[in-house]
Amino acid sequence: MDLKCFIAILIGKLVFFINKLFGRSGTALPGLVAQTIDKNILFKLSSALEGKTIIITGTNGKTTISHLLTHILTQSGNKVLHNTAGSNLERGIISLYLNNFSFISKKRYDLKVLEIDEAALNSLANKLKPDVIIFSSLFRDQLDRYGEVNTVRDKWQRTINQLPDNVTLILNADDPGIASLGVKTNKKTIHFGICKKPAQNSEPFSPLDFNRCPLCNHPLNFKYHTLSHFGDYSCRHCSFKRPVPQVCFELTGNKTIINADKKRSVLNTNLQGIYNLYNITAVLTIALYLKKDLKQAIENIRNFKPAFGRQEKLQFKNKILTILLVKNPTGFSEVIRTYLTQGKKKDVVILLNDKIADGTDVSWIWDVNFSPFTKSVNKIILGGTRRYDMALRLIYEGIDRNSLVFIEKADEILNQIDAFDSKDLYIFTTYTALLTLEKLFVKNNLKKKWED
Amino acid sequence: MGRLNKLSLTIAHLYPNSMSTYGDRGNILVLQKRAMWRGINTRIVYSDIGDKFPKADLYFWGGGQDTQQVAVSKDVKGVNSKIIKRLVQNYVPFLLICGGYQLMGDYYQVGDKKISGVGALDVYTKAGSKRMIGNTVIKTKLFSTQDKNQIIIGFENHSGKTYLSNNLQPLGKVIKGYGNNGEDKTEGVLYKNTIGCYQHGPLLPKNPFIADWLLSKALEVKYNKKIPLTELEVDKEITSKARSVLI
Repeated sequence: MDLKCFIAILIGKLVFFINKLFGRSGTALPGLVAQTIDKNILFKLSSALEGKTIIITGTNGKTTISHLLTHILTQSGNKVLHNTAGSNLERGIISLYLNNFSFISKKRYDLKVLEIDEAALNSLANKLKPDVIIFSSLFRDQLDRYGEVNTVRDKWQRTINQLPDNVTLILNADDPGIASLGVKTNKKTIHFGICKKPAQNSEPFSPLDFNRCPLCNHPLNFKYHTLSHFGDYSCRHCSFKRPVPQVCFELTGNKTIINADKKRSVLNTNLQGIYNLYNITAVLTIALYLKKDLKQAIENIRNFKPAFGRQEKLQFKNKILTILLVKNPTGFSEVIRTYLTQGKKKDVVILLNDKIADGTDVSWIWDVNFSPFTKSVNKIILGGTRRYDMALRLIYEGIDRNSLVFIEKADEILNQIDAFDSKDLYIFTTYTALLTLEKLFVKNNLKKKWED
Repeated sequence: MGRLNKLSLTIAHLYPNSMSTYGDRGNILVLQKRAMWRGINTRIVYSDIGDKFPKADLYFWGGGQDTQQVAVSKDVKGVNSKIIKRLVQNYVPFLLICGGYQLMGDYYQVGDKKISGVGALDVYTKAGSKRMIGNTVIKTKLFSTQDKNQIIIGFENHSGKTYLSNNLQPLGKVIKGYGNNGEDKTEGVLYKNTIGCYQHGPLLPKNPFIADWLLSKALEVKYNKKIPLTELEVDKEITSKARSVLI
């Protein structure tokens, strides 16, 4: 280790200490300070910290995959260093590494599980020295920040091509935007996805973000869709088609079967929705790559508790609140499909903000499939900076104006919820509103503070 | 016009799969519902790459990804271009947003390469190096019967810079944002009954006066007389609150 790096680590650690002294919990500042002293600090720390590095990136599923993976690995006796969704950019990772770096003992962790922002990946991939990268999904998301899906995909491809050949790619076979990343590369690829056409197959519920081949721009033929543009596809022009997944899920009646390493196991999980089956198979693919006992891994999924805002359940008086983070048309449509297309009428809360972390453009709500709302929703509480945009969206969907209740401040939610009849409430929230909610719930002792 | 002769409109959504990236399909929903709330029957038809060009009373064409736009530009050449030009000349209303607006012009220039457009509007677009992104406020008098200023609220996200020929009328003046090209403070175009602009958001929910203008023009052309539209109350308060957040 050179002197510059040594000083950067020392001062970074000092900032941590001072932060703690004043009771501040900011995760970016120590990283920022250390980075200012040594620009290459991240690369140096990545080299100094031993253990395999696993990167998880993509539009949807990052947080659930990284939490579930950490859960499974921890259960099997590994020590895992894991970042949180709030610190998936460079400074956050540096802070995480600084805090866990020891000058005395080198090997404190067996594995590093890093959730990385899909745009940040391009500048971080080399510095993080990954052994494996998981690409979960590619959907249109915050166009003002990330740009169009083809642009995101092409940047990833360039990033992959610049990495050393020993990096393994774990790719979603059913997402043409993702699977196509494995075609023009000499890196080892492993795929996950659905095993075969589901028994009940319907029209796509969420918008399609890829209907043309990412490699030659000709139309894609789909044998079936599972969600959005996920499905079994082939290009009408070039040889690109869905790769055969090594780890896959099978939907048969009420049961979900996992097929991995020539073995079939029944899956038991609290995670709802087909999108979570993709997250689960992604995790099992990593487990397979790490040569873990898959049967045990599948068993351990059963007692996994969802990450913050990802189908997290809280109790408030006699009601159960389910918190659902929404950030793009596919994600929002799929949670609606999962929770609001069957059973009794429900009460819901929607919090729509337009801060930078949410996306300043809220037009995406017009691509969300709200059609189940006309049948399956009673009352709707609307909050957030753009609540009236959401109201317009719902009015044009055909929702009665009188079923809408507006709140100006997050604090009002609990009073409003109390007045509702239904026992189950679903809260759909964008990212910054989720952070506000979390504070509110902590203040009202609804939950323990979400810990890093 | 008595209730016996029920009014009806066919609305065409052009390239809904190839060019529908920015929530623009909300415009179709708004047109459909505002017609329905007034007892006007609507039928929505969709036409994408390879399909026959649809017959309709009102057309909508939205924005898409750059790669999709090249494929659409090939499809729209030839027969479709001729039909579209004739419709525009005959005052059939079109609403064109972003990519649809660019492709209705003469061409889109990237470096030395020119992607040819429909040529129904005397405008051209050059690729810019900077993306023009953000909320927009546009001032216009074109939709008011009393020549009053009206405000259009939207969101833009484009790198193409569009320039109008001298005799064309812009849709409005940029108060906040970039507009056509970020240089001349103009935004969009209004030619006969065709509106082209960069206003996502989508445009019509927060600017229902434009939706009603398009519907009344479509009715006027179809039935060959002016048909007054009744006022709608259903969304008034909410619309003004949604607008006031951005003004």
